Amino acid sequence: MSVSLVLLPLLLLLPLSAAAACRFILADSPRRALLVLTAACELVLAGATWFVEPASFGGELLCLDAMGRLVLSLTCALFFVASLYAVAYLKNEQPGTRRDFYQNLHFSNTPEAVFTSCMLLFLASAVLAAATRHLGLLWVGIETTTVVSAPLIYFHRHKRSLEAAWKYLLICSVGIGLALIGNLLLDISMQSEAGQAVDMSVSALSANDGGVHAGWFKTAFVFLLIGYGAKMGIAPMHTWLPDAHSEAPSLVSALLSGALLNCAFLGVFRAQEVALAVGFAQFSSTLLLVFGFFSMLIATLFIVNLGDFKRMLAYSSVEHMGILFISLGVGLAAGRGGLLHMIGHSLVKAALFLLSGNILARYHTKSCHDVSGMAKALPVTSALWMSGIIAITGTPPFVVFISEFSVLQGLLAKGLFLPAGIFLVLLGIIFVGMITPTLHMCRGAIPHDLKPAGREAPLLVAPSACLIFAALALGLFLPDWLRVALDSAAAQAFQP
Amino acid sequence: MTGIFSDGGSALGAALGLVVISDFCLLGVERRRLSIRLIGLQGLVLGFMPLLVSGGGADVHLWVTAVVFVAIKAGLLPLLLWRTYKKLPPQPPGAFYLGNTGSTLLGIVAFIFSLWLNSRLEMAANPLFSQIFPTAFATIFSGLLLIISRRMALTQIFGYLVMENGIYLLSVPMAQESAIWLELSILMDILVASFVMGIALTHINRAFDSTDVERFASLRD
Repeated sequence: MSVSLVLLPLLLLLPLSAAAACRFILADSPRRALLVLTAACELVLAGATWFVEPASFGGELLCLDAMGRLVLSLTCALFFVASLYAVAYLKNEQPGTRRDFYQNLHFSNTPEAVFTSCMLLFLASAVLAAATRHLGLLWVGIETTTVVSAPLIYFHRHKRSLEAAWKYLLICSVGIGLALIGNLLLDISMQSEAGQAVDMSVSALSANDGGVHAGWFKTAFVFLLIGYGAKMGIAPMHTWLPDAHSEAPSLVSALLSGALLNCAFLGVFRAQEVALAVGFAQFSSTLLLVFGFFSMLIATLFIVNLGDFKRMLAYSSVEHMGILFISLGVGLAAGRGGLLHMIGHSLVKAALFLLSGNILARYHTKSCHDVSGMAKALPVTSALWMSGIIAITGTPPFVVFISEFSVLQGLLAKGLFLPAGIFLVLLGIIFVGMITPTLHMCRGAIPHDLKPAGREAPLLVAPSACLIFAALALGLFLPDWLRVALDSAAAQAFQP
Repeated sequence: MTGIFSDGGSALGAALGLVVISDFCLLGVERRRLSIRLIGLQGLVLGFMPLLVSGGGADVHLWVTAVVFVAIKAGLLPLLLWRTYKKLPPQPPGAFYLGNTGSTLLGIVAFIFSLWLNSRLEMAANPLFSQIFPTAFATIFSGLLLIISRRMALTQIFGYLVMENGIYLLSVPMAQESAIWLELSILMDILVASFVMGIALTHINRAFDSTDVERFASLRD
């Protein structure tokens, strides 16, 4: 059997089987080993798709294109890193009931088998979303990520995480419902006669020559944008994101921010791909720019003086999703910058969320004001945290700087001078808003009631170090193979 | 108000009328027991919808689909809601951000708006879609209104199910084209509303001693 034939089925079936097996493994250690092993195999398989073109199944039902490969590889890489962190994280979690350090109420954790199982199901659904060009199946993949990630957010069974999980479920489910309406209207807009079955694969929809009903198509695009935008955390549908990201365990926040948001972006990307092919890119690009700038504005307003470092990271995700929308709206003028931004944001934000878990475990607070002297209390975490914040705020030489600069160039090349100015101002305010609390956290004296520093576990810092190093390396040197991949993915949906 | 009742006393027109009336009733009632019955009734009507739109030409696939959908929408989902309702301690009605009268009036405005919107959008290639669109859109809006105007988590689930009923109705005209949308909307019902939200509701009640989402006040900026 040829390798190309088994690649996509294996990528899907492996995490599914491992998730099922997790429910039957009683001991924690073998279950954690299975998690890491599955993540490693998925990473290898995702890597293999760069060398061997995977065979498609059912037309475009299972089909990996340039954009899908980028999202798939990024998801598998982040999942692998998160699974390494999970081993140390889960080992540190005390079994049984304990006191919540915020409200001093008793709570317990979701059983580890359920947690691990849901993590693997999350991976499977994210892989499905990346490895399909069929809009129906893409919707199923994104919908499934919502269902399986809710128990992950509610891992610590206390009131706050329950509140966050409920908001997440409700808002994202409504969002995903709106995306389903968008798909239905897209189907209707493509029908040229009653009873005609429409193939919902992106290529078939894009090949529609002139038979598109403009009104229905535009309505469909609006629904898709709002629906998947809600899942991405685009303002004003972003309200679930700060709550879910701040209350979920750090490795889940890392996965939500680094992998889940990209899957939702893929939904918008596919819609834009069709809009571009059928001649409605002007309409869709304007909408993308409006929502993108609005998200950046909302994020800016909230980030300044926020006082909670996990919520600060969450609002930063709102900002970066806005930048992704702007780059897609600007089109090819932003070049490969938009997709490079997706990669940069995922790498750095996942690293920062993992590090936030270390800070939380040490200081027992999420308040920026109550954390100080990290350079002494957690020296490695502190150095990485500072580097990560510098990277995510778009400071050279990290990759986010390169990508944001490309987007700015795109805005200027399109003659959008005022939006370009606003873009710069908002980035500047966010930079100050994030750096100020970071300096306070890293410098200064250790709080007197904090126990003396112990050695930081390698598995709690090495994953973040690798991710930040990758963000730095990509900022300094973009390999040719990645440049080509970014260009071919961008050509799919970025307006010339 | 052209379009929706243009086929006079036909079964489809009557069914669509029943769905709209049940939307308004759901927006107007306070008692959750009655709401569950109304959702069951709406589910029953919607379950038969694929047969009604087939105009007497239903094949075996459509019959099986209709039976399964009736079993889920009029049987399984109301039953799950009923069991969840019975498990929760009795709570006084009237916990909402927008009152019954206001909600119903907004529902009527939404229905009129959806009729206007339908007349503004060009006729879809499938004329059945244009006929069903106003009712479906009004049902989706009623569901969203229930979600945002009610404080009790169980009532928010009702809203979600009503919204899903609207999406399902929107996909009914495609039932004969072997499109997958009907099945997907049902998948959404089962997975999210009954399964995940139902479980979450039990936890909410245990943690907060209530299902009033007004008590969700710890996560603020």
